[in-house]
Amino acid sequence: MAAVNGEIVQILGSVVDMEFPPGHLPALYSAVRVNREVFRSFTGDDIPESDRVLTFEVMGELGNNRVRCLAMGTTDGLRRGMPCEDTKAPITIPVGRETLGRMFNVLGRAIDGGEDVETKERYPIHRKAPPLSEQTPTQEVNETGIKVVDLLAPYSKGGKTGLFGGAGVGKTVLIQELIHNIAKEHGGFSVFAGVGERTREGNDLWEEMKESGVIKNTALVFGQMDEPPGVRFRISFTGITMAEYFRDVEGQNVLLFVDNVFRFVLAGAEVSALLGRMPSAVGYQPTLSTEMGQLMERITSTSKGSITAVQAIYVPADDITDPAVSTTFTHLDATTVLSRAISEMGIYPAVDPLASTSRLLEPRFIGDEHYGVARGVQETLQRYKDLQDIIAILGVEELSEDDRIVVGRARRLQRFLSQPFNVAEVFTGRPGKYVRLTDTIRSFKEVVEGRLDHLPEQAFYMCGGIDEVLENARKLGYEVGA
Amino acid sequence: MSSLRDLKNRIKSVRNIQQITKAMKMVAAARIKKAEDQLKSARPYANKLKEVVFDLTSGMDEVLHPLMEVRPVNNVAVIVVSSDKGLCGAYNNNLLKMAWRELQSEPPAKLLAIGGKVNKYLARRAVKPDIAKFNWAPEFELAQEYALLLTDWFVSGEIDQVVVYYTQAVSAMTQAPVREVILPLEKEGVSDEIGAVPYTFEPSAEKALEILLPRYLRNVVFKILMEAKVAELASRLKAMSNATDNADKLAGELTLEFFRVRQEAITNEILEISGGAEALAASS
Repeated sequence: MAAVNGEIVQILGSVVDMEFPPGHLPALYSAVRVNREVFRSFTGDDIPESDRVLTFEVMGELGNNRVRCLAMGTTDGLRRGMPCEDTKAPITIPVGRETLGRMFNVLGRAIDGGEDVETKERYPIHRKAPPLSEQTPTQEVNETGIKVVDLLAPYSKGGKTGLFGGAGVGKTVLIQELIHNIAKEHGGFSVFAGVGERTREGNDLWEEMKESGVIKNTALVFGQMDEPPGVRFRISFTGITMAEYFRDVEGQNVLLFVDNVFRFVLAGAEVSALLGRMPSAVGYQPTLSTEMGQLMERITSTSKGSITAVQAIYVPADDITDPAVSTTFTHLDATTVLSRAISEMGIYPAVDPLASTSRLLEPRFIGDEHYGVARGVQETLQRYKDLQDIIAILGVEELSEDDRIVVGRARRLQRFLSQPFNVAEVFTGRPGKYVRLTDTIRSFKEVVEGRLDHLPEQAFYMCGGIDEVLENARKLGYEVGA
Repeated sequence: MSSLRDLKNRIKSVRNIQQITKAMKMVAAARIKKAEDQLKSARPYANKLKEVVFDLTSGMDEVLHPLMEVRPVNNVAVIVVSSDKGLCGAYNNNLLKMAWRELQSEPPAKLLAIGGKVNKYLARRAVKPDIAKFNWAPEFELAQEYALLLTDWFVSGEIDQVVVYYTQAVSAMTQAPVREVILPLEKEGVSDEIGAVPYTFEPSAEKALEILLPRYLRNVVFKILMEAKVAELASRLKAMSNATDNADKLAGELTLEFFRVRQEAITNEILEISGGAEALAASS
């Protein structure tokens, strides 16, 4: 059957209205294509042949046989009256083993300079979340080798994890270290979705993965900050769809990295008003939690396979109560909060030990010893925080002797929570450290029980396990003991 | 970012602390004057007394009075003079740290703990002083009491040396913890010129010293108590003055933060209301 064409009636930036003949309105979420005949972009450059076809996604119906669509690319060169072709299906992307080692855009086209990938199957990017009955939460800790994470906010296998942080506190470095530590040890398949972040970082990651060889088990999708909002809005779905294939068909434990979920929300906000929705709290789209739910509910583990997701979430103006951030919080199993105050102290990773938490932080999941040590660390740090005002005004001398001991221990703990990263070796000049969970627990137990109160604070800074602390203290000329 | 209510509470608590530190500062400022005057007026007498004592004894070689007897040190009596109350900076901390080193390595035969802070410190470490004094003031009667006690111990041979840890008021800004040996009486610090003239005693040198030396010891103790008090008040004045300034700064920062958060909230609300109104106007 020959396609029935509609035509463009209104162009509002990324949002375009189209009119179709009566009875031939495209369904919601289906893809509509427009072939541009004018080959010039606004900069005067020719649009390459391959980019002439622009794909849209139907976002809503306006009545009078009109639909409102979101462009998956720049809308340069569009005119009213241009013919639009309904593909009668949502955007589909290639899935399968062929996608490993390759890099894709939102439409599933290769952007690594290679040929487009042909696979047996193509999946639509809009799919249903697995039903409740098939979801299987796991309670197994996924060791990351990062002390503060393993101790205070352990990640679960097949769980969802969020890394929250303001601008420049180290989200991307942390996620890259996690990729470095988990993906390498993991051995299974990984999917990385770059959402609205720096293009350079995408390139760095690509190069690094090629170097380490992880690339052969990884599929990358990118819709970075140079892309229009439609792309940044849908790119996470492209990534999730690829991961879902490995989970559902191959029954794998897939690692999914998303950097950065906030850009997804932001893209939604950018087009929300253009789509005719009234802004809600703090100017966000009124459909914020719906959109977040659609995204997050698909990242889940089923009886067939699992997706272990690590997502970075930007925190605008360091305000953790921002609607975009707080909406994300509720979906996660573990949250790692990066704090500006801690990064200003020079402690990296700048994880806030009191704000970060995990569903697994219960004795029945992680065992009494780990739980006890984690709570001990938090108690000590909390006490220090409570005393901070008094110290600021009266000085540390006025504290009681007990409190002074707590303060000293807390300061050691704070420093001991720092750790040199493999991916940051070029910046810090220190080789990265991977610390086993058992080492982490043993080390922190020593500190929190006060057995190392006599060692100097700087010995605790940027260390792996406790043995390194002792080594440092020895170098500084302190009596360490056996 | 903290909420408005949190900030308000914090500002209030900082202001409350500031009120206390300010009051403490004023009290210390008022008291230090008196204490300094007392110390100043006691100094000429103490110095003269010292001169006289050593002037008299300098010509003699043999030990004329038991308080001057230098014996091999086996048993030591230690006196530690701290303040009763806190909020005086590092005053007690520095002193106690210094004293504890000796107390720990060589437990004294007798231990006099003067002041609430030192007693608390010792109690934590399960050390029981022989004499514990709380709420002390630099009074003559107190000095007398201790001087008599020390004399008894020393003369009876129970102790061979008396060491005092206290804080000296070097200046209004500096206070230094010191360790001083007060028994047996030593000549240290007396200029060589005195003692050039040999004295004739009537009825005897022993009798004269018997009266003079206890007075002298009493005076030494008294002076130490006064010094410690002046140093305490100076230290408190300094600490509280700093604390008041710090509180001021902190409250200022918090107030700025409070204004910023409030303004942000207002701006946001205006945006939301006007945005909503605009959208409603457009749709109707």
